[in-house]
Amino acid sequence: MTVAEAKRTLELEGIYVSMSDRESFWIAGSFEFVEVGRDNVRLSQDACVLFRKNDHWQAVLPGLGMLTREVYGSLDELVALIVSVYRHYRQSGGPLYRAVEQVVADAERYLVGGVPARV
Amino acid sequence: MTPADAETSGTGGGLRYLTEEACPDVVAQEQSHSCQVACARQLLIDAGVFVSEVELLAQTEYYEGSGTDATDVARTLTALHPDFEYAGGGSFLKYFATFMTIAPWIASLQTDSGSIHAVIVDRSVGDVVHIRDPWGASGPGSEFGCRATMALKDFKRYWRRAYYVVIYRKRPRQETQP
Repeated sequence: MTVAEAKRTLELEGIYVSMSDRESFWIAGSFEFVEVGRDNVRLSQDACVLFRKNDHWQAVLPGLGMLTREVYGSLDELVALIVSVYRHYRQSGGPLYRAVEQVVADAERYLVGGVPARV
Repeated sequence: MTPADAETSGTGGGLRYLTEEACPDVVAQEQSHSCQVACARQLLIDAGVFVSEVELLAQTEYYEGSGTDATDVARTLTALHPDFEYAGGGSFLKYFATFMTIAPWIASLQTDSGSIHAVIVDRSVGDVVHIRDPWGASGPGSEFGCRATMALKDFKRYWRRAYYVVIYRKRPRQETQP
């Protein structure tokens, strides 16, 4: 799957995709325009990111509070995973992290951020 | 301000600061995951509202071992800040310059150790971002937080990994008529 195909696959699912470069996706199920001074910015409560890291791709998905789940894989695998997460999220409602917990197999394995660095 | 050791700087070593200095005018977080609340407390203190972290945590949904949600912290800030209403959520890289026009704002950064950590972004000068970090020299419960600087490219990388979560002042407080 190419980057363009990945973007198209996500958009065909009704998922919003914005790219800061050819190897970095910002992904959201929904967003609203919120004021910032005289401008408006897109602000989402259900965002995640997907980006290339060395020779593989990495998805960073939300966990409870300030925790995240990091999943590595090929672009095809991670796009398929993200599509499944957002389908479940739309069908079941609730926060996005709940859909991640329910869709990602062995979700606890991917949880990061529970223990801050060298306390 | 002293040059930071790349191996030991920022959030116990998880953020690559250029410089870092403990400062008496920066509050430190008191819990392992209360960084967003500590940043909100700092913005309130800047506005002359003195409130303890314990009081703020009582008004914000705090998950032990997981922290807080940006939307919730923005709601608490809106309730207590005398001048501004706040918003929170995932934003996008292209709005960095827009957020700088209304600094200070709170950014979530994913550290090299994987934890998400919130800091206050005060200004960006050239390729350097100026930050207030509530982590403190010896972690949660330190006497003070830190003022630090970070290369803009590193800031953007850390911010991306936290899907560009922000808490920022969206407009002056709208006074309701009695």
